Order: sequence, then structure tokens, then C-alpha cells
Amino acid sequence: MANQSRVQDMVAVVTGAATGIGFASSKALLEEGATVLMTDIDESNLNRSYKELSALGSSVSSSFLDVTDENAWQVIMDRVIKDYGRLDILLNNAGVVSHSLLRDQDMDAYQRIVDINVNGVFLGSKSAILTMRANAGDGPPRGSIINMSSIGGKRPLQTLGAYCTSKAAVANLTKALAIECAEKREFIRVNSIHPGNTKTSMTETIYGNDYFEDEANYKSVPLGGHGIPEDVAEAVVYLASDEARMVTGSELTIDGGLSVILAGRN
Amino acid sequence: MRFKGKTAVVTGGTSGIGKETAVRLVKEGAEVLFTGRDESRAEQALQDLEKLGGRAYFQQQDVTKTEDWLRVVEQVEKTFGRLDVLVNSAGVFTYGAIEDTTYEEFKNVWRSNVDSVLLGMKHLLPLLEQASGVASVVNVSSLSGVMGHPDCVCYCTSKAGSLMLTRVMALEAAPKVRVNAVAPGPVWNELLERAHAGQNKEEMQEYYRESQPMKFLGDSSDVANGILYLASDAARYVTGTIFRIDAGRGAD
Ligand SMILES: NC(=O)c1ccc[n+]([C@@H]2O[C@H](COP(=O)([O-])OP(=O)(O)OC[C@H]3O[C@@H](n4cnc5c(N)ncnc54)[C@H](OP(=O)(O)O)[C@@H]3O)[C@@H](O)[C@H]2O)c1
Ligand SMILES: NC(=O)c1ccc[n+]([C@@H]2O[C@H](COP(=O)([O-])OP(=O)(O)OC[C@H]3O[C@@H](n4cnc5c(N)ncnc54)[C@H](O)[C@@H]3O)[C@@H](O)[C@H]2O)c1
Repeated sequence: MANQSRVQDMVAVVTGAATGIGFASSKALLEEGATVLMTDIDESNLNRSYKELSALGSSVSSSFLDVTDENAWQVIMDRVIKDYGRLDILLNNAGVVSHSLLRDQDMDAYQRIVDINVNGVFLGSKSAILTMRANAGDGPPRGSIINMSSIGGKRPLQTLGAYCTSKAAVANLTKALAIECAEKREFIRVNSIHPGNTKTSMTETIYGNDYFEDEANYKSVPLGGHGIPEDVAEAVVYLASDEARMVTGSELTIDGGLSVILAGRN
Repeated sequence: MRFKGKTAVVTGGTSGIGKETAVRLVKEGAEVLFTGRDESRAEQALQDLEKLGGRAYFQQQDVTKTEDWLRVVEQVEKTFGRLDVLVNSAGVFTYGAIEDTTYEEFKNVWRSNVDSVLLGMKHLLPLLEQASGVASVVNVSSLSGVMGHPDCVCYCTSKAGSLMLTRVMALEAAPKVRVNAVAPGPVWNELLERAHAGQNKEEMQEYYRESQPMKFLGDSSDVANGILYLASDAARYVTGTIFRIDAGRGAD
């Protein structure tokens, strides 16, 4: 699959690219022919990840970006246009989680989740849409914005109430933007991905390092086992590419079937 | 070549989305048995597939008939010995207000769009369970199964049925077999050409294009792209999903 070049010559910005799903997606986009700007607030992991990917080819760069900083988004977009002349793909992937019952929810942690998971996606999408419009040339603006929601954005998960609230907002923000762009006769597509249990530093933070070693923890997942960041990256490549030129406002769930069971309990 | 060494059955392979999916599977390395009732259309499809240098087989089949599915099972056992991918694309589209719809018609549409999917999974599951990796079923439902339209009671009801069948089967068939559905909005292909025969083609295309939030009218390949993603190992952690390919219509 590596030499099919499904996103050849497209320019992508990925947030939260230092680790996990953002890193795997940057790698997959790069392998499929895109130019990728990896961004994150975690500079040491970002540097390490950037080095790893730059060994694969020269069309990757990296930059510090706090997704909650509106001015910083402007700087990133200016840089993308200056360096590459266009923007085709934005993966709004940066996200944080906190583990708490809603009634005990710490308000600072809550605000941080809303700022990063919801406002970060809003700011990123807005910057990307304006950039795609400004650089469209003669034809209508084109591009693919992919927002990382979660199965928690579709079904409530116990002790992740604030996170689920933020991810449900991402799912609906995605649809609202998809319709808004479509009705302006633009070809800027906006879709959300809903991963289930995926082994990354985020889930290890919530559940502990040995969670994924114990099958009993996900025996309720119909397919069994847990997902890996590469499973999500495959969906990112598909949604970013022209293969999905008719797909906008859609949700793609990658959860081993877990949400089917959760729906049954509701 | 995402499907090298894989075997697939595609129903509705004589036309439209099923035909395009069969061609794409062959192009990406699969051996494909495709089915349909109309043998004359199969000739053309078979020639197209053979031109690609791929291995393709045709079996005449009415997807509403158990005995026909048993013949498909026999053929798969003989030719492949196991099955990796099943795409249930055969189906019919009808519209009409309830007062103009006969009970017979309602039952026929249900048989074509729901019984067909149930029978396919029921009879091919044992062979899918023998796949070397995790096998994959993709059912071609419709956006009409997610949202209702007036004057379309038979079709909408049946497509909602095939979506729930997909979710239940995803649970029953796990973990050896994944089961997902695509829910396409209108795409311009043989189905719509037939539905609007005698009308001005450009006008009809314009009508469908303008009725979508994103003013884009796709074709069978747009649905086939999504089917191939779900059928491939790239989607190895995906089951029970209903994936809309609809230019934004279902998000509105
Ligand atoms: N085109 C669209 O805009 C659209 C949108 C949403 C969903 N869909 C769905 O996509 C699926 C494929 O449709 P399409 O657009 O490809 O339509 P199509 O070109 O009319 O193809 C339908 C296929 O189904 C086969 N078929 C129908 N009844 C059958 C039966 N009883 N036994 C065996 N085969 C049967 C036909 O083969 P024979 O005539 O040779 O039997 C034909 O190959 C359908 O389920 C349809 O509801 C289509
Ligand atoms: N891992 C899972 O099971 C899972 C499930 C569903 C959804 N998700 C979502 O996937 C996305 C990626 O998560 P992951 O599992 O790869 O986690 P991760 O913790 O490995 O990666 C998240 C990245 O986001 C970065 N980040 C945090 N705050 C930021 C900010 N303000 N600005 C820029 N970057 C910031 C972090 O530094 C980190 O590198 C998240 O949005 C998450 O909610 C993950």
C-alpha cells in the first residue's frame, strides 16, 4: 500500500502530532505522498517524532503550536502558505482527557478540556477554511478537515463526562461546518473520526500502563482487543484523499464494535 | 494491492455499485465471484474483469432465493474453499405514496433489500469464518435507511432494516467476521439512469447535484471507495459501523 500515493502532493497540518494517533497519521500521510507539518505543545516528543519521520523523506516539518492560541494559528497558516503555497488537509487531533465523575469535576480541568478539545478544533477549522478560501485560485475552495472525536462523542462513558461532552461538541461542530462550507458551494469537506479504545499515551494515562496487557479489560469489545494508532491513521488517509470526495459531515467509527453494544444499553 | 490473495463474493455485480466494486476488488488483487440475475449483463462485466487480467467468476443468482444462495455456497467452496469478503450490493429502488403502494410491492422490496442480506450472511458465514484472517462483510444500504423521505415507504423501511441487520450481525459474527454498512446518498449510475429513463439526463443530474448540501453528484466509484476501505484490513478494528457517503445530506 505504501507506494500508492493516495494523497500525493497534498499539504497537511496535523495537531497533537508528537505522539499517538497524531504521530501515526502524520506518518501515514507522509508515506502516501503528502507534505506534512507536524505540530504539538510537547516540544521534546515533537522533536523526537519529527526526527523519526524526516528520516523517511524531506517533505515533513514541525512546529510548536498550542491549539488554543488564536494568534499562533495565524502564524502557522502563514508559514504553510509561505513554504508550500497551499493547504489541503487539516487533522484536528490534539486532545486531552480527565477522569472524573461530573459531580466531582474539577473546574480547571474541565475548562482545559473545553479549551483544547472544542475551542482548539474551532480555531483550527476556522483558520484552515479561511486559508483554503484565500488560496483557492480560480476554482471553488477545496480541502479536507478531519476532526478527532471519540466513541465518547457518540455515547456517554462513565467517569469521562467532561471528555464525552467535549467530543460530542466536536461531532456536531463537524457537521455544522460541513454544511456551512457545502452551502457556500465549496468543496471543503469536514468529517469526524470516532476511535474507541486505542493504545496511546492518552489511554495509558487514564487506565495505567498495564491496562492493555490484560485482555479482561476489553472483553466487552465485540472484535476483542484494542485499536492501535495505525487503525485511525488508515481512516485519516481515506478521508483526506480524493477517494472520499463525496464524503462530508460523516462520522467514521473505529471501535471494534463497542458502540453497538453501548447503544444497546442506552 | 490491498486484496492480494483474498477471495470475494459481490452480489449485484452485473450493474452499478456492485459491478464497480467487483472491478476494483479484481484490480486490487482479489479473486471475485459476482452474481446477478441477468446473464447477458454478466457477459460484459466478465469481459471487463478479464481484460484487467484478474480472476473473476459469475454465478447467476436471485438473492431472494435460498436455493440460489446454496448454489453460491457450493461454488465458493469449489472455487475458493473459503471466503474473505462478502459485499451485498444487490437491491432495488422504488418510490410511491403509500396509497399507491401494494402490500405485494412492499414485501418484494423488503425481500430484495433485507432478505437478500440476511440470506447472504446466514449461508456464507461458515465460509467467512474459515478465512485466514478476519473476514469482512459490507452491506450496501442507503441514506434512505438513515433519514426518511416522503413517498418512499418501501425503500426507506427496507434500508433501515438492512442497517439494523448489519449492527446485530456485527455482534453475532465477531470476532472472526466484521460486518459494516455504507449508506450512500444518490450517485449517478445505472439505477438512476433507469429510474429517469425518458427524462432529460442533464436536467436530472443537475436536480440531484443541487439537492445535495455539497453540490457534487458522485458515481458508483465513490461508494466503491468506501466499500473497499471497510472490506480491507485497513479497517481491521471497524465493525458495526454505518458509514454515510452522501455529500453531507445526512448531516443536515
Ligand atoms: N444508485 C444510487 O444512487 C444508490 C443510492 C443509495 C443506495 N443504493 C443501493 O446500492 C445498491 C446497488 O444499487 P446500484 O445503484 O448499483 O443499482 P443497479 O445498477 O440497479 O444495480 C442493482 C444490482 O442488483 C441486482 N439485483 C437486484 N435484484 C436482484 C435479485 N433479486 N437477485 C439478484 N440480483 C439482484 C441487479 O442485478 P440483475 O438485474 O442482474 O439481477 C443489479 O446488479 C442497492 O442496494 C441500492 O439500493 C444505490
Ligand atoms: N487513545 C484513544 O483511545 C482515543 C479514543 C478516542 C479519541 N481519541 C482522541 O484522539 C486524539 C489523539 O489522542 P491520542 O490517543 O493520540 O493521545 P496522545 O496523548 O498520545 O496525543 C495527544 C497529543 O495532543 C497534544 N496536545 C495536548 N494539548 C495540546 C494543545 N493545547 N495544543 C497542541 N497539542 C496539544 C499532546 O501533547 C499530545 O501529543 C485526541 O483528540 C483524543 O481525544 C483517542
